[in-house]
This record gives sequence, structure tokens and C-alpha cells, in this order.
Amino acid sequence: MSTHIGAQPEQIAQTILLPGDPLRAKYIAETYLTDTFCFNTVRNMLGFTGYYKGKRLSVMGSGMGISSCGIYVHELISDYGVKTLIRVGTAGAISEMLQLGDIVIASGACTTSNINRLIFPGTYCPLADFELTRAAYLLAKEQNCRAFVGNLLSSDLFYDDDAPKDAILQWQRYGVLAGEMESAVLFTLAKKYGVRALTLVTVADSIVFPEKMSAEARERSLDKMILLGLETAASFIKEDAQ
Amino acid sequence: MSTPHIQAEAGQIAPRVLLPGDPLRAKYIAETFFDSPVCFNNTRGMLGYTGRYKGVEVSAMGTGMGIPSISIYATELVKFYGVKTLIRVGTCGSFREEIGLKDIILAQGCCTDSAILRRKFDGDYAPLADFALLNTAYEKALAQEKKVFVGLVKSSDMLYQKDKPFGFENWIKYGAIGAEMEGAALYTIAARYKARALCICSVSDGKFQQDVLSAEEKERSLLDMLELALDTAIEF
Repeated sequence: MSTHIGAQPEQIAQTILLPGDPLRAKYIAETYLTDTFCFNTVRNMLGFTGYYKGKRLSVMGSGMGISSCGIYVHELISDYGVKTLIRVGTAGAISEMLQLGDIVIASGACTTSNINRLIFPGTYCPLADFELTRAAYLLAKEQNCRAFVGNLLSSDLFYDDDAPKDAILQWQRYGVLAGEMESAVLFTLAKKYGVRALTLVTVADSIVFPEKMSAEARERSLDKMILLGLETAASFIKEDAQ
Repeated sequence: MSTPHIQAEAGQIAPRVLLPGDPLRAKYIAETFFDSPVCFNNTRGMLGYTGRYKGVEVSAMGTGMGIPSISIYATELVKFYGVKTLIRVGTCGSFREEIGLKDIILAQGCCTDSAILRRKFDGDYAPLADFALLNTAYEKALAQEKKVFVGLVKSSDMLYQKDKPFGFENWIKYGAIGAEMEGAALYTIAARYKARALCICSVSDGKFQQDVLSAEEKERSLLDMLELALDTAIEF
């Protein structure tokens, strides 16, 4: 047991999918995994372990934001020995190239957080694991889904009424595809501990267009991303590591 | 036309450019690999050439050393000459025992101790290689059986800096595999002007490397990297 996770050692697989929402973790476990077991209910941050196509993996909520995600990622790696972490979430499009339902495979993440300024005398560059990124890219191509590989912005604040109106445009000018709230810490901690991490996000709304997804469309396109996450994860699970 | 630092006429520079730090290496690339190279720049001695490699028009030009110098050339190339693909070909130091002399590093992204990103962003920007370019170079390196590593590279402002309070420890602890002096600026500028960029480095020294390369070995490893960069460039 760690401070925020009630699981016994070995109850969490070495490969984990991390949605922000614990109920989505439950949905993934119920929809896609077999022989599932709930390993955590502390703070209602539900976590499950089961099998996808015969391969053992876990899925757990991370909560919203860098601070919450940072706690779970840290404990999963350092207390439970998790080796591969794939965040599956939603994002707001920043780039004009993107449409609702598109998938972004993050190869790196910018951030408005101060976490890395406390560690580095300069600007750190949180990166996804290259081989995971490449695996997701090749799988997305094979499945013909609209997916873009590139930069995300991990923001600390979802509601920021006092920010200058055009603050986001600077990130847009420099090629950032979409905004979300967790990847920068996931990538930073994964590099620190020498494990693999990746983020997949579905575009659910945007600062550049007014449309939002209907609940139904949201569900459908999330399923596409979740499957991409599961297939990517499964391709990294060795038979003998179960 | 000309810019403050490049005297080429419009159309004299190819849409894909190899960027070594050293202008004499640009000359070497032109003389070694290009058919019918033409020199398009000698302003400040920063030689630039355009020629054909495997039938495709390619340029090679020096950038000088460091973020301030490469920022000038990269910006002028993309903004005024319409360059779309920039591949830096340089040397770097290795931070890892398993990454030895002559190995090739492809920078997936670059962290930096430079202030350029803090000036531009209210937050931390992540300068990234263009993924299509990176993936192409990676696949070609595997096909050519070159020893290649993909990862985080640190772009430093100062080569000689004994007085700094921070060493390389945290950068290394958080995944940096090598260090050079230009990548972070190249990636940032390319992103700003919607061009593709990649930084390919040949390891020339390192924390764990005691050996010194002979002139012949240096030349051979340089040729290996340049061949990879050129074969990648002509795909774009």
C-alpha cells in the first residue's frame, strides 16, 4: 500500500492506462478487460487489473491536473513498479488543423506549471517514450484513424478568466496541437524513473472552433482512442512479464 | 534579394537544407555528396551550397555555434527563403555509458539552459523534432544498420562554464542523453514558421568516453551521419 493507493504489491500490472476520470477507468475495465479486479477505492480513485487479449494490464484514474496525476504516477512507479504508463484523456484543440474526434499522440508536452522550473536552471522538455509514440503512430495509421503526433500544452488552470485573451495564441503559433492538464508531469516523472510513458487524447472541444461533441460522439471517439491505447499497451507486454 | 546575413537570390536555396555548425563542413558536404554544387553564400564566411543528391536538390549551410547564431540563420532560411525542412548535422557529447563515440543521436526534443523560451512563453515550451522527419531518419538508420539512439538532448548556451552553480546532474537524471548547443532554437523556430526540423548528432565525446577518435574514425562517423541526414532530407 502506498499513501494514496490501497493495492497490495503485485495487484497492479506493470502496464497501466490512466484516464483522468476514475469512472472512465471503470468503464474501460468493464468494457474491454476480462477477469477484472478492483485494486483501489481510496479517495474513490478507482483502479482495476484485468486482461486484454490475454495480456495483464491495469487501468486507474489519475484525477485532474498535474498535482493529482503527479501523486498517482509517482506511487505507481516507485511503490508498485509500473513500467509502462499510457494516459488516455480528452483535450481542447489549439491548432487549426484539428477537428472534433481527432486523436493526438503526444511526443512531448509544454506546461504552464512551475514543477520543472523548481528543478532545472532553464527549460526542461518533457518527452513521451519514443518507441511507445512510434507504436501508437503505426497502429493509428494501420487503423486509418485521424491521428496527429506532436506537442501538447499541460495547463494548471482549466478556468483562467484573468489570463490575457490571446495567451493561448502564443502556444498555437509555435505548433502546439492541443491543451490538457496532465502530460507534462507524466512524461517528466517517467524519464526520472526510466520507465515508458505516452499520452493519447481525443479532441473534445476547442479554442479555435465553437463546436463541442455530443455525448454520443464523445463516447464513440473515446472508444477509438481507448482501443488505440490498449493495443499500444498490449504490444509492449511481453508474455513472460505477466 | 538578400537578408542581413545571407546573400543568396530567391530560388538559390533548396527547400531542404542540412545545417552543420561549421561552414567548412557545409563545403565538405557539397564537395563530397553534391552533383554540381553552387555556393550561394559567403557573407561572414558562412558558406552555403546548393546541389543535387541522388537527383534531388539539397542545400547545406553553416549555422555557426550556439543558439544566437543558429537562430539568425534558421529564421532567415524559413522566413525569407521558404525552406521547409531543416536538418542539423552536428556533434554532441554523450551523457550515457551505453552511447559511445561515433554513435548517432536523434533528438526527439531539446531542453535548454538558454533564456529564449522563458522570454517567449508564459510557461515552459517543449521544443520537439518533427515526428515524420524523426521517424524517417530512425527507420533509415535501422535499415542502414547504424547505431542510433532517440531521446532528449540538452542545448547549452556555454561550452566552457566552470562557475555555474548547477551541473548537468538534473538534466541527466531526468533523461537527457546528450548535449550540444543549437537544437532547442532550431526546433522552436521551425515550429513557429511551420517547417520541419530534426537534429542529428554524432557522438564526439562524453562523460564516460575516455577514447579519442583518430582523424580517420572521425571522418568515417561523420560520413555515416551525413549519409543518413541526406537520405532523410530527400524524402521531404
